[in-house]
This record gives sequence, C-alpha cells and structure tokens, in this order.
Amino acid sequence: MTTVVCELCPRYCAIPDGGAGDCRVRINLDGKLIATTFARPSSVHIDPMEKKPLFHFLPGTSIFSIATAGCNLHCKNCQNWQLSQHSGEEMDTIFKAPPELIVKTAITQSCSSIAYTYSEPLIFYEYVNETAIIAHHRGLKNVLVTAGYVNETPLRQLCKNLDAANVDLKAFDDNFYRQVCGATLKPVLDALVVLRQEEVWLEITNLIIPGLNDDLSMVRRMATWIRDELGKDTPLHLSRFSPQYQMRNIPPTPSEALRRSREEAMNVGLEHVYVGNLPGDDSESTYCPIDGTLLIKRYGFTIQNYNLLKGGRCPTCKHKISGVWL
Amino acid sequence: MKTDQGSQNTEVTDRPDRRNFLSGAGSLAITALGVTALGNENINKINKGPKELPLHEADFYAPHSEAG
Repeated sequence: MTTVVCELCPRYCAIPDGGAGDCRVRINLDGKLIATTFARPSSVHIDPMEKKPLFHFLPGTSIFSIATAGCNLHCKNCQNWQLSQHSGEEMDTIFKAPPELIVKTAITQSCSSIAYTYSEPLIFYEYVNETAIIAHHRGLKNVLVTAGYVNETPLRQLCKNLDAANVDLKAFDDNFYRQVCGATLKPVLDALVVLRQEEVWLEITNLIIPGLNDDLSMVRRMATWIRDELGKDTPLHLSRFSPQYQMRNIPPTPSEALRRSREEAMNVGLEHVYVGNLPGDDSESTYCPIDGTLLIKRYGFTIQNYNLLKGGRCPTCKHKISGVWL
Repeated sequence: MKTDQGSQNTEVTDRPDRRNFLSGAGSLAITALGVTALGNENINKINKGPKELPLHEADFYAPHSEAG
C-alpha cells in the first residue's frame, strides 16, 4: 500500500493506493501513478486560432483542439465545469485517440497546429507531451491554453515542444486565487516567466468579474508586472465575464468596465490590450503601437481585414509587431 | 464550431460567452487569409472505445515519505 506524491503541480498531492489526486484524473494503482485520461479525450474540435484567444500567432488559421476531463483548479465561474470538474470515467463521451491519431487527424483536417485546451491540459501532461513531440516531427505547431498552475521542471520539459501559450491569469491577487479558484497566485506568475524564458509565444487572458477583480488598481499592478517581467509587447486579453457554474449570481461585466481596464493597462505601457467577448468593439483589433495604423481588423473570431506585411511589419512605419505571423 | 455527440460534456469553449457567436467565424477568418475553409465532420472518425487502451504511467511522481 504505497502512497505516492504527484510532483506535477504545486499541490503535491499525496495519493494513497487506489486514490486520485485533486485533479481527479491522476490515480495511484499499486504504487504507480497512472494518467487515466492519456489518449482519452472527451472533447475534440476544430477552432479558429482567435478563439484560444491567440491574436499574434498564425492569425486566421484553424487549430485542432483537444481536452480530457479533470482540472487542478476549481474555479467557481468555470464555463467548462462539465468537463473540468469530473473524472474521466464520468464523461458521457470519451474518444480513443492515441497521440499518433490526433496528429494524423489534425493533418487530414488541414490544421497547422494543435491546441491542448478547454479544461486544464497540464493535468493530462503526458498526453500533451507525447502528442506535441509527434506533432513537431510532422511539422505542426503546439499551443497550450492553461491556467499555468504547474511546477517548473515539468513545464520546462514541456516547453521544448510548445510554440505558443495563452495563460489565464485569473486575477492579480492571491486571495482571489484561494477563494475563487482553490489555488494560489505565485506559481502562475512563475510559470509565465518560465514560458517567456523558454521563448514560447505568450498571450495572457484576464477574465474581469464585477466586484471581484475589476478594481483598476489591480489591473494596473497586473499590467505593470506583465510589462516588467514579460515585456510590454505581451498581448493581454481582458475578457467579459458571463454568469456560469457556481457564480450565476454575478452579472456580466459592463462594457465600460472593460474599456476602463484596457485604458489602464495601456497607460501602463502594454502595447496590445484586447477586450474579449464584446464582438464589434474596436479593441478587438490590432493596431501598430508606433503610429496607430489598423493592422488586423477583427469581429469576434473573424478577421475582416489583414494589413500586416510579411514578417508582421506595419505597412506604414515598417515596425515589426511581436508575434508569429504567416 | 463543435462536433459534440449530443452531450453537454463536449460543448466547450475557451472563453465565456464566445460560444454565442461561434457560427461561421472560423471559416470567415480562414477565408480572409485566402486559405481553403475546412469542415470538421471527419473528426468523428476518431473511434470511441477507450477501455481497449492500456493504462499509461504518469511522469513526475515519487513514493511518499513521512519525512516529507
């Protein structure tokens, strides 16, 4: 009856024989830790890259997207809780999809990249890693959409085969992480720094929830930290909250609050701050930080006008916009 | 754009609310860059039947020690 300690994430779950970690999907069987959702995704889709959201990474391309059950956070506002807050065997739909099949299907579907997304890909770490290695060998890119609650060693190893990541920075406040997500802030900040150091293209999403993390001083502190630790060219997506899961008593974020938060972040010096979930708003589009030229006009996930020159340069001043461009 | 099997479990999004205006957006974005639009019907060719798969041992774990 050997208890094992999972060293993947900062929880360091001590898991007795027959038990599961906090994520529900990593279980101890006879002293061996088993990744129960390996090759068993419960969600498989083709999405536009803009849905991740990634606005500076191969814009307008399709990305093959997979997820398994489970998560190592327990956010009260989770929009995918049917997926994230269940274990693998509780799912109605489970596909048999070994890494080779995922890559082969992505290629068949003319996708140039694969996203590990929807729930928390870090808890199906081995599946992500093996798929990502094969994908790279076949010329595909790999994208992680994550909350970033992971230890440094596994993250650095995974980065060898990652090309881009969108990290959900839930709030710039440890109390928020503890009370709303059942986690802590510092490991997430550490993960963001690691991704930058490992030269994975990085964009950040911050969901603005009225009354909980919409304080402008918090937005200012977050933007300042991003500017100083990750670079002013790191795109930040400020997304509109909608009532979900255990947080249906809070109204959607007013559009004005999102615009004020964006203004605050841009005043700090961030070059690319986007408002999400407000289709039609000007702040969905990309502008040159030097001369203000409209570079990519978007409506929701749709690119309506693409004005970047090859290599991601502004057609007016030739400034190179940070990102990975076609 | 989803390929669910009629289950809530597969109706997923990356960010809140975005499911409300997904329809067609991906294809339009692709068309804007001159790339052929895609269908996703064939994803369903991925077979169900996970119990046929062997168990996969995880990375990054160690025996628990009382000493910590």
